[in-house]
Amino acid sequence: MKLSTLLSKLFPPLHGWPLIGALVGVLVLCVFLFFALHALPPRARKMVIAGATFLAGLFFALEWFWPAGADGTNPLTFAVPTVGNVANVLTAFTLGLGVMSLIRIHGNNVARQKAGWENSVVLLAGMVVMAVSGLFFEKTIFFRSLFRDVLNSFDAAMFATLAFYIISAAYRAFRIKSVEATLMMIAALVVMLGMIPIGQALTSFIPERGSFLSLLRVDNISNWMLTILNAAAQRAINFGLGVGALAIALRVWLSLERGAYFESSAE
Amino acid sequence: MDHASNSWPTAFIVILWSLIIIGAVRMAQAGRRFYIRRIAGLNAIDEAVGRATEMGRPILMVPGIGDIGVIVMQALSIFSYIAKTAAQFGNRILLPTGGGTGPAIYTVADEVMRESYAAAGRPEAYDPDSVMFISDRQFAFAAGVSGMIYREKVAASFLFGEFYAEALIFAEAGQMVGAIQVAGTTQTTQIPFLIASCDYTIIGDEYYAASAYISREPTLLGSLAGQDIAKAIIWLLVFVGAIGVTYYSATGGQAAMKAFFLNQWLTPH
Repeated sequence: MKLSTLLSKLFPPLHGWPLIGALVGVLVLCVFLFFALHALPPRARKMVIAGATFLAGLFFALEWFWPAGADGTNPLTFAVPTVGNVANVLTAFTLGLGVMSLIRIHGNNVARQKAGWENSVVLLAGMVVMAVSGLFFEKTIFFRSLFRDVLNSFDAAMFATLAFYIISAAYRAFRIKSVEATLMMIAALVVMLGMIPIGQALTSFIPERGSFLSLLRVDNISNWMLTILNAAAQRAINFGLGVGALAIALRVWLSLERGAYFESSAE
Repeated sequence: MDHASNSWPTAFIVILWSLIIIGAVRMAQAGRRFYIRRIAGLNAIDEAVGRATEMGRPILMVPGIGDIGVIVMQALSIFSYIAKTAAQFGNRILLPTGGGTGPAIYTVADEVMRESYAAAGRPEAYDPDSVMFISDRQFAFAAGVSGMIYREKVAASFLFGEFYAEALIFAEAGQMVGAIQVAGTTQTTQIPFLIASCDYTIIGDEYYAASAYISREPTLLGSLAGQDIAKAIIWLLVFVGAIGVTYYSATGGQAAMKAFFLNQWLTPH
């Protein structure tokens, strides 16, 4: 019998009172586990956490290494979306904590009339208005206007400020004060010239291909810099990042770094 | 879905690298000492915290807007070290979180900061309001953090994590208030902007080396040594592949190049 079929028989879909009963039962179990974990001594608690971490990672490692059939799945593939949903549910729980943090900090600002408390009033009012309109007036023009005409406009305004920030950053970056800055300036100039019509027109008299002189066309040099030099450097960086990510994932999965930096010492 | 059976040589390489990294960690834990080259950006962390102490202005730490995962955990490990130093000097810290999993990062960051202050022997100095959730939307988060930078006039700004377009907004806001800025990200598209705007930038796998560099813990140093051995294997494969492809394409044409064993071995089927 397939694992998915067995689990479907053990945990069939529930509706109505059986569903409510199951939810209450799970809640009671979670509360019990919460207090049980708190009652454990720290060393045992760390072992439980390390064990849970290992089992969680083991599922994904097994699912990847288990050979897949012709349909591209193995006996564990069916559970991947469900396990992913568990992570989403946990993240959704933490959203409540995030909202509480916002209300606590800005409510405190308003209550104590700290500097800028008026902005906190606007934030809290905006949060309430968006939440209420989204919950009760989602299909109305009111909510759509708030989202499309207010929120999206503010997003676009912040994105637009990037244009000015890029100019100021580029001015500082392209000041020629070292060999590296000079090289970067020349490379940037060539790449930019190769992408704009006026730059391409500078060397348009040179044949595009079929001649050794084609190498001197601005657009060819620009393309070479981007696809050969730049791509090679990016791939080299990505190799290092990939290996680094694997190392950290292994350390977390096998709890090798316990006591390394989040705690003062391993017990 | 992708599985190891799509490319067994890739799975073999992953297992090989994992064994190398675990082996190096075990060697380090047994007492073997490994060398790390100097990384200017990480040396500057202490300088930045010291400057913030002298100026009496807060320290800003931003873990990016990525999903909670290895990148954010690495950022929080760096911030843990900064927080310990800040706690010893009595500096104020600001740690705004945001993005899709911002609330989850907020809860983890709060715990990490609390433990850092406790490890520095100053648990009573920790201000719970120093870690806050701003927004799950990218530019709302950018607006909140840049406003914080301008209002608080932070003296030191640490941008470590997964950043997108908002990276330049943070970095330029820090430049405007005269903050010393150290940034590190895995997003290669944002590295040029951070290099242009920040005083020090950690590039590529220096980001993952940061925790080993700062703490000098044997486990982390061993992991770093294992990563370097794995990268040496990649270098060897790239070198052999480049020689082979160049030779076969010069002598045997496309068919010979496709038949070149590395091409066959490593390309997914």
